[in-house]
Amino acid sequence: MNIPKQTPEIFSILSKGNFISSNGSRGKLFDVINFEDNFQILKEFFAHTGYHLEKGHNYFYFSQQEETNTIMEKKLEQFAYYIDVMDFFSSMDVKPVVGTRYRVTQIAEECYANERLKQKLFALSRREKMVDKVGEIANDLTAGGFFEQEDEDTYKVMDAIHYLEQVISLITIEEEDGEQADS
Amino acid sequence: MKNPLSIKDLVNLLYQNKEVVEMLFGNKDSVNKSEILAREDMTDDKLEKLVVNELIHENNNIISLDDRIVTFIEEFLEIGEVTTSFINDNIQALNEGLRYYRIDNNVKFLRNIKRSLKKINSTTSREVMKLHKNIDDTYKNQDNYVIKLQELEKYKRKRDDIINLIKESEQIIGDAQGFFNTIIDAELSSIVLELRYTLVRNRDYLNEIQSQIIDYINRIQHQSAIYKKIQRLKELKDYEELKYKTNFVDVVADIQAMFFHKRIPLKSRLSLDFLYTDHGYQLTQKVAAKLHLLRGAHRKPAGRMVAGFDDLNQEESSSLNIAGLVEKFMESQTDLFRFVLDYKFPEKAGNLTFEKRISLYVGITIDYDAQLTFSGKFGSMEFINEKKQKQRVGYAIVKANTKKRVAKEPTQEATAS
Repeated sequence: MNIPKQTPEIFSILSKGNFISSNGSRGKLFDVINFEDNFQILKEFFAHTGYHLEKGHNYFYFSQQEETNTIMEKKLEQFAYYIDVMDFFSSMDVKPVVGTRYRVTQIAEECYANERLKQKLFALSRREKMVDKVGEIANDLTAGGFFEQEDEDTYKVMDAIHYLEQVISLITIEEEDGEQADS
Repeated sequence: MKNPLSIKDLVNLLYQNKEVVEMLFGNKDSVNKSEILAREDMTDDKLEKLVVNELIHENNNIISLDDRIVTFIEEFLEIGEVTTSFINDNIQALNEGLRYYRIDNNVKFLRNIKRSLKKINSTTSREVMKLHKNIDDTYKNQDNYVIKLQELEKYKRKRDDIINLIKESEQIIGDAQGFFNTIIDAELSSIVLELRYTLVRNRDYLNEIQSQIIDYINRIQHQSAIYKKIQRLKELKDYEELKYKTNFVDVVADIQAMFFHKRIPLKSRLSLDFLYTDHGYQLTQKVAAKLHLLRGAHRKPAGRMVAGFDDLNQEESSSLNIAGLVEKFMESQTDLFRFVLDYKFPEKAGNLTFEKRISLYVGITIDYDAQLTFSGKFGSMEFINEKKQKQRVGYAIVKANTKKRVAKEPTQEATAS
């Protein structure tokens, strides 16, 4: 079994709960994992550490089978937050699809013009300036690995955004009129 | 006025300005005139010459390369937009060549046929490669969702065009195969063979691309459904109905991605072996300097201690002075047990209990046996213990060895009964 030499780097990123996306600055690492049998080799290798290497559409991440109530609560809280954030971005003119580039100033401008967006933004961040509010959210998504900062003002949407979409599509809504809003 | 350029002039001009051409090709539409003139390899005259010869254009202070140059470079480097017209042109040329050659068996027409066949081969492969590259690029990097969808649709149409052209080429070659067979030309048959192979391969490739485009388009359309769903979920969340009207809790409970776990950074200890190395020493010095641990080295002496600060430690220190006690015993005439029992310890040693004195006696007999004489006789005494009971204790009579003789007899020491 030939483990790639980038394995420690891969582990240190994934074990922090981060994603490795194909279209980000870690694209090289993505290619390494995606190369020939490496995915299978690494999956087996990491399995000894209790982490499961998982593959999404153009991204990789770790999963772990352990569950306590506090984690559960945190997860619910966290995901509820992502619903808010995703709702904010999907209400904008430019949707958060893979490869989308957002400029903080541009988002802030759109919020000035759109009262509904503005309200959503105000609910999400308590920072004083509009630009800072947007920046805070963008940084949150960057920390999660869904965005990547390209320069001071620009953020790019990573392949890992599919992960959030995947979870959202798993949720079924019971509509009162009996219609199922599955996607 | 513009003089017609010779090939030599054109190539020379491009060569002389190669850096600028590269830069202009790299950032289309966004280079200022001042930016160009600020370059060391550019002067007003040179720029003027390029503009006069229509290699570059100036518009509102923005400098850009002539479209023909851009196309030329893109063509050559196999980048840029996918165009099916090249393949089409070559197919027309091939048809023409075949027609003419049938009328007139001229080598000139045969050469044209071969060239067209070769060109169909290279352009088809090139356009397919470009198509794949562009699709991938569009999906991953195009930021506007509507444009992305439209671009992908466009590439889907282009794929269909290329497929049709491939079919057309195959048809022509198939039809002409009998005709090719009549021409004895080794080069021609190898070209035809190679083209057939290329066409088949590209067709397979395009089928793969087709499924990829469809996948991408589906994903994007799926995404728009997702956006609607997100907004609906948000609505439910705002009405506090998320937990009741959806299986939100169950779904999140099933998530096992590390992403939602509390992040516990992995901690490891420093290797001690490493700290002993020179490198480790440097590192510790650095850390110490950072934490100002070395500041103590320059500190002034501390002031006087407050009197009696170590009162609590007195007993400890008094018990250490056994050597002094033994010395005093050496000068006395009594036996060791009596001596230790009756000795008036200095005040700071506090009041020694009976048990403590016994253990002191035992300790001395063991530690200093070389200086002691064990008489072999026993003494005894009575005392009242803590529980007010009468007890008798027997003890070996040990005296100071005034003759410095080493006592060899085994001792029997007294212990509290």
